[in-house]
Amino acid sequence: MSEQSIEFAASLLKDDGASIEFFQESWLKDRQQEARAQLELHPLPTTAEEEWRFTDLTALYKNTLSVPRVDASVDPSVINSLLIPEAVSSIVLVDGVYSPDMSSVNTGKAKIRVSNLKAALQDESLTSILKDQLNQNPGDGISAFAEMNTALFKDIAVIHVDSGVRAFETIHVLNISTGKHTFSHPRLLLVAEKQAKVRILEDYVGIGGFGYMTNSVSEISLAAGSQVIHVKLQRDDDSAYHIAHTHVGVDNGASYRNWSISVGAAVSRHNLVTRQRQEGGDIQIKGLALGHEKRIVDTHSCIEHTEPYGESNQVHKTIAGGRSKVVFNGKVKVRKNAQQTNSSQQNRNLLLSARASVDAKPELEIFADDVKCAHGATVGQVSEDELFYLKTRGLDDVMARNVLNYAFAKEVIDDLPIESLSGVIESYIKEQTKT
Amino acid sequence: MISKNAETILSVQGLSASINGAQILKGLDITVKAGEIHAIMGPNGSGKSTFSKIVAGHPSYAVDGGTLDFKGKNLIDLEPDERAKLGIFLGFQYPVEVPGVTNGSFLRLAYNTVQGARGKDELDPLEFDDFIQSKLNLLGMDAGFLERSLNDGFSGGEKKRNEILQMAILEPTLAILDETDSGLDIDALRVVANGVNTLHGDSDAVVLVTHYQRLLNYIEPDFIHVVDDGRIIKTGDKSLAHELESRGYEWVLEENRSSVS
Repeated sequence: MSEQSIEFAASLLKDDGASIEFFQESWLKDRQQEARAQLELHPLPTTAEEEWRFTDLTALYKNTLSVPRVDASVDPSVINSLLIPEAVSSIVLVDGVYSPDMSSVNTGKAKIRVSNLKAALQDESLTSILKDQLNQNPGDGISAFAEMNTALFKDIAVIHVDSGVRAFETIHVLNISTGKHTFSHPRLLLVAEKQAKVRILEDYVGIGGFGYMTNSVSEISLAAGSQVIHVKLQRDDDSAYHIAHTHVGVDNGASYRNWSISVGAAVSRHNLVTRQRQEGGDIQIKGLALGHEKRIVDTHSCIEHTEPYGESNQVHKTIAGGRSKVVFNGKVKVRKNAQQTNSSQQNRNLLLSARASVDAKPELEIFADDVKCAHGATVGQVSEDELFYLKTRGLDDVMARNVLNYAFAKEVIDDLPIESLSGVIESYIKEQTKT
Repeated sequence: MISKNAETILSVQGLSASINGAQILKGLDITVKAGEIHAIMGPNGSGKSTFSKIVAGHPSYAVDGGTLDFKGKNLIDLEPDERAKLGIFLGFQYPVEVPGVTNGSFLRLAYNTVQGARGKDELDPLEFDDFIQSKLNLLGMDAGFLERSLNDGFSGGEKKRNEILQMAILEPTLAILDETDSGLDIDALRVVANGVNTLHGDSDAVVLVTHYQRLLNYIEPDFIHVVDDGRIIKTGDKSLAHELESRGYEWVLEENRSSVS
């Protein structure tokens, strides 16, 4: 089994990215080389690894995937239909590469810089930010896929919010896959300086793509007192493989709010790693994963408190219908120094079918002695009391179940701060939770 | 109001029912006619709440014998939603909280489903807003109620008002209100009772299931039934409630025991 994963990685690594001239930057080249070396030491995972026990990627490793065409064109009206109206700027990456024609960067507010790798490397200060921040926040939960992204990414969506920029700008980072059996390694770097505020939508969608793999890494750094609202919407094609890493570092008094919504792909895995790096800091995470038909949807989250007075709050909900398989592994780590941490984790899983499965695994590692850590995980079916109540109001069995399934999922997005997105997600929920 | 020629709404004879093999109802008889208000009283565990759930079609109870007819139609094999469409409404003792379902859209869905099945036109959201406004006024509820999740985080009083609001829009022929007075302060009790009195007319019937005589000061019943051990053991007019209030249930149970033996 591991031979398969090694062969698969080797076939992808034949793509050396050398055709892109700006990779001649030596530091960047070095970083990509380091990642290649790491990949040789630590091959892509198989179910033999504890962290990947529930998610079998054999089907992915059997594929022969190729480099996507560089000249893929996407109908602009399709892009426009996907972009949210709230977005002040949008960065569109097609198969992992920035598309200047389709993106719309509003430079009116120079204090929020929205860029791509090529442009960033022509700017001295953005280059130094890249050098400082790119791949500099690794921690637990980094898998070989993240190394592969670092070895092979072709572009980066770069967002830098200067100190004290308090306006909530919404930036839409739209990742489009167009290829058939291709791979891409989308990369995002968001740096919020002290007291800055920003809101982003990280969005994955397939347009014409089929059987492709997206292997993304998003790095988000919050300096003291900053606030980041981050919505990740995974609505890849039902035939796709979606592997994603989100690495977040939270400094003193900063607030990170995340919504991670998975409603697409055949197989998806999201490693969401957030780390409270200094005193204080608030981490709020809401997750929704819909297991539909034969989908495998896996979320591994890790919230790490390293310093005192941190807060974290996580609610992760899943629905497993059809013959789907849903996985949630939620780690909360409280280091010895992280006294007065206040943390809670709730994981609720709703099983809709006898042939679906849920693997739920909360993991608390607490080394400090003066902390509050609450957690709970449930797996269940629709409540008979709720069903009876709705039926006495005239709803038949199917209607009542649909209302309750939808409500279960919708609760996660009730306070979503991007209004137009609620409707988009609601229609996915309605479609995928039908009895 | 009792009227001799009124249509029989609910006819129950010798009804026995069980849950998980334990028999709860043991031959219960009751007849309810249009225009009437009945109160069912009795000690804890007597089976009065079970009776209301069985009329509404709760799936956990098995009917083992007897008849349960609504306007001449046998209810026993009907699903709860079919009973609702026919005109049966159960006001819950503990209304279920359903986070994520907006109260307003749920009420409209229920209205359109039930009234649609009765041949009425469905209402779009704007029409429904107009329709529901007068019902909200009746119960002293503001429109903010419609934006909240169904019963989610509602106080006891708010939940009971919301039950009567549902009764108001579904226009049942038979409303069974299970312990609607529990958890209500005196002001809320007045509002809820006034709602029920306003909604009740000559062509429908109300059955109140209650522990206390208090509610009956505000909604005057035509008949009072005392249930014990799964049967109605005494029926009287509203003066019976006062007697129960002052003397408790024991004398009725005693009277019943001596008449049986």
